[in-house]
Amino acid sequence: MATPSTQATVKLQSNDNVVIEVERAIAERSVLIKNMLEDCGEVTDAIPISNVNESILRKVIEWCEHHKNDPVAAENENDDSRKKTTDIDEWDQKFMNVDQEMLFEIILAANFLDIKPLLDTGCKTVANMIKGKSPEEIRKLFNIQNDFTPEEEEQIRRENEWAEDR
Amino acid sequence: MTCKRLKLDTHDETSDFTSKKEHEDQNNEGQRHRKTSFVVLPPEMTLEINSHLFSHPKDQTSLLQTCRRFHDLCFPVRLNNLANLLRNEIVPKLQHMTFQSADRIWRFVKRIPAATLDAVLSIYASRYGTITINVLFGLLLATLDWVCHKNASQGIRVLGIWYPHRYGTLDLTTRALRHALLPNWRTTVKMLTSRLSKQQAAPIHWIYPGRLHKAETCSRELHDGVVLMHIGCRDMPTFELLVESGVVRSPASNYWILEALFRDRYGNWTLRDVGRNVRVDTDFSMVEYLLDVVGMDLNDESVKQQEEFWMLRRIRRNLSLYTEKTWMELGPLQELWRVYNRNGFIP
Repeated sequence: MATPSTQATVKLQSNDNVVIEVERAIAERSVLIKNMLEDCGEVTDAIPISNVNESILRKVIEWCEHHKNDPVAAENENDDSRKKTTDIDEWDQKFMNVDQEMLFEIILAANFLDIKPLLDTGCKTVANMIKGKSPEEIRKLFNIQNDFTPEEEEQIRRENEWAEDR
Repeated sequence: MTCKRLKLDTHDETSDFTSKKEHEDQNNEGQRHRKTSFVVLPPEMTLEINSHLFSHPKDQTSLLQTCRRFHDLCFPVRLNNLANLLRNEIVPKLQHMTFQSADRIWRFVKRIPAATLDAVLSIYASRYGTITINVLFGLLLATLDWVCHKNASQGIRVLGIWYPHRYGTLDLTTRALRHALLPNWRTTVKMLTSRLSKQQAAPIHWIYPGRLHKAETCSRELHDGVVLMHIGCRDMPTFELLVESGVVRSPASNYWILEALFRDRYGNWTLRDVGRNVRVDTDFSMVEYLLDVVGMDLNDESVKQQEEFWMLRRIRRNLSLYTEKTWMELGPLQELWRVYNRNGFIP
């Protein structure tokens, strides 16, 4: 492993070739980038973030800036502790108040960049969109085609009847 | 942390978010037109989303019914979420049970198909080990409270509580098993029993091996509307004792038993009319269950150094005392006996 670098900023390059300079501490909210920097030491070139375009990258950086002082979860932290609720911090709610396309891009970017808290926030946001809705409402919300045959649908409905409110 | 339910109403349902690849796929297949990017999320992301949906099984059910993709993805997560639900929602509530919550819990549990509950409990057991027994006993407490509720609302009288493991599971426990039980399990049972007794203005007999005269008393007093509650495992000697003592008599019996039973390794509890469905089987081995709970491997030489081993020896001795059958005749226990024998552990 290379000697740890003390550089203050790093450059990130989106897949549409826009270079954004950010504080290293902020960029290191991404485990992917953090590991990369630790492995490579001083990095003067822009780090290519191949799966993320400029607008999403800026959005992710905005999130990282806001959460830069949050405690970093331990690597071996029990996954269940991240998943106990669908509650979302008020700032994060506003942050995630975007159209579906951007929301899903943020989720994908968080996954790619390995930013678990952002991934959780995104997934909780979508989970909250789903909560309490009927299958038909979920399909309408996300434009999902019902690909069950009537027989299959009836069987699934019957199998899961126990969970319905009665 | 301020937590508010997020309402995303800015999404544009008329926009076309479909990925290029999906467009190609759809064009190739000449299939429907999907307009959302939701379906292009990789499965692991969908699972992530799904994993947050545990607060109500209805949400999972809705996803199961939405399309094949979700159906494929949801089921294992739902089981996991049900385990979470048991742990996070039900068990804590048992500490502060009200009639309403117990009834709700009861209705919830009753509606879960046995196979699903088994799977949940298996997952629960594999993940949380000894906590499993907390959940199971928690459910038993819920049942007891439910009976209190029925007792008040429907005039059902509880005559006795069959507590078969006064000398069994609960009293032969090792530290490991004791710690696995709800800390206030006994206190809670006694409290509920006391409440029940006051409600019906009639005593409740505690019946367990060694107090067979109580069982005989119960068998004389049992009649319609009287409940004998069976708490604990329907292990072979216990159930046999019920039959032998005449408490469980015939399919035409005029009484019924509210039975919370562990039918298999992880338990499969049911409310059933045992009086009309008397069945003595040997599909449960308490010893096997205990072995599982304490995580013992009898092939491990160090086992003989452990307290659990001596506990099992006591159980085995008691099993012999409680029944006329020999150890070898207990069916599923034969294998255990064989292992004991092989290891020279015969008491």
